[in-house]
Amino acid sequence: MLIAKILIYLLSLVGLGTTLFFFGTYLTVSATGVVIGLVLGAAYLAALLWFISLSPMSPRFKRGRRRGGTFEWVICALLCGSGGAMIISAPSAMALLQSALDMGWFSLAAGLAGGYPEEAAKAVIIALILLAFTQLNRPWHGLIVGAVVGTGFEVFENVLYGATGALLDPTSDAIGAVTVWLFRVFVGIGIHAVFAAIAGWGIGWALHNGSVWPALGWTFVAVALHFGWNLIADPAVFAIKNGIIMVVMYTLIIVLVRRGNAMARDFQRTGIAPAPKGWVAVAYPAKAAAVSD
Amino acid sequence: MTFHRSGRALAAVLGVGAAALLLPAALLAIPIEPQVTTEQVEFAGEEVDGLRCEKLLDLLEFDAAWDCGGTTVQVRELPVEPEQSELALRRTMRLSLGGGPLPDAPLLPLSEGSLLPHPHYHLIGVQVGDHYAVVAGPDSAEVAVDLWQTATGKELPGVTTRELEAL
Repeated sequence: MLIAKILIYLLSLVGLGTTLFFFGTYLTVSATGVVIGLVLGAAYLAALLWFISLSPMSPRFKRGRRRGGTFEWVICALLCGSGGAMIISAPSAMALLQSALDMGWFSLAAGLAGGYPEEAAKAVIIALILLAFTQLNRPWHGLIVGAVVGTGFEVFENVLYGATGALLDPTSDAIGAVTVWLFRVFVGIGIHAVFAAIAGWGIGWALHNGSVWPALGWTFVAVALHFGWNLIADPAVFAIKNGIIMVVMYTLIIVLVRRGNAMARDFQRTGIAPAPKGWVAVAYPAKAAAVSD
Repeated sequence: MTFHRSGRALAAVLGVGAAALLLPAALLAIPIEPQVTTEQVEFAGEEVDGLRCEKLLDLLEFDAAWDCGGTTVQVRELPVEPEQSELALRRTMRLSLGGGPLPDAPLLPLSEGSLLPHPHYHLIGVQVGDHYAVVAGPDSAEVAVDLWQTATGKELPGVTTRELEAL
C-alpha cells in the first residue's frame, strides 16, 4: 500500500531525527551515560533482533527488490518504534500526565502517561508497517513486527534512562548508567518488545480476518499490562505487583509464540493456512484446524 | 492467505489510531482544579517545624520533593563514605539541575555536615550524615537553615547563615 508506505517512511524520518535530537541533547546531561548507553544499546538491540529472528514466524530477510523482500521494514520498525513512537504518543502522554497530576492521582500518573499512549502508538505503527510491506502477509507476522517495534522503543528509552540514571549514583556517572541498564535489562527483559508483540499478535489477526476486534482486544491487554507495570506503589507492593505482571506477560508471550511458531512451521511444511476465523478458533497445534479448513 | 490491504483497512487504522492518540489531548481543554496535596516536609527522618508544603511527584530521582510557595525542596538518602560526601552533595545538586558539569561553588564545611550555596542558580545543597537536600527558589536560605536545624538540632553559625542569606 503506497500511502501506508509513505506514512511509514515519513515517520521513520521523524523517528530518526527525534532519536538523534534526544541522544544529542542528553550528551549535555551526561556524555558518559549516553556513550555507555549507545554501546550497551547496540549489544542489546543485536541480541533482541537475533532472538526474534530465531522464530519460524520471522519472515526471511532477502536483499534486493527482485527477490521480493528487504530489510526495509526492520529499519522502519526500529526508527518508528523509537523516536517515532515517542513523537506520536507525546500529545496524549502529556495530557494524561497533566490531568493525573491535577487530579492528585500520583500513583496512576506513570501508568496513564506511559501505558496507554506508548502502546497505542506502537499499535498504530505495527498496523501501518503490516499494511506497507507486502512481504509481511501472515497473521503471525504481526507478533514479529510488534517485537521489533517494541525493541526499537526499548533501546531508545533505555539509552535515555541510562543517561539520566548516570546522575543518580553519588560518585560516578559510569556506575549510575550501568546500574540503570542492568536493572532495566534484567528486571523485565524485553518488556516493551513483549508488550508490542502481544498487541501485534492481535493486529496481525485483525488484518488477516478483516476485523478490528482482535487488534483492539490484544492492544488492550498490552495497555493493561503496561499500565499495571508503571503503577507507583510502596517498594514491597511494587515488587510483588510487578512480579505478578512479569509472570502473566511472559507466560502469555510464551503461549502466543509457541502457537505462532507451530502455525508457521505447519504452514511452511504443508502450505495450508490456519483457520481464518480468528486466533481463538485456531487449535494448538494448528494443524487440525488447518487441515479441516 | 494474506492481509486485507484495502483503503478501508488503512482508513480504519488511521481513524482508530488518530482517535486513540489525539482524543486524550482534549483532556487539556477540560478545566480541572488542581488537587494540591500538602504535607509536612521531612528531612533526615524528622518533620521540619512550620514547613508544610505541596507534595511534588518525583518519579525517579529524589526520595521526596515539595514546593514551598515557589521554593522547592528535594531530599534523598545516600549511604556513602564520609570522604565522598562532598562529591555526593555536588552530584545531588547536579541531579537537581538536570545534569551538566558539577557545581563548582565553594563548600561550607561544618562538623555535622556541609552546605553548598550555588549563587548562579539560587540553589543550596545541604548534607547531614547520609541525608542530602537541594533547596531552590527565593526562600532557599531560610528553608535550608530550617532543614539544617531539623537534622542536626543545632543553630547554624551566624557567619554561615549570613553566607546563605547573601545568595
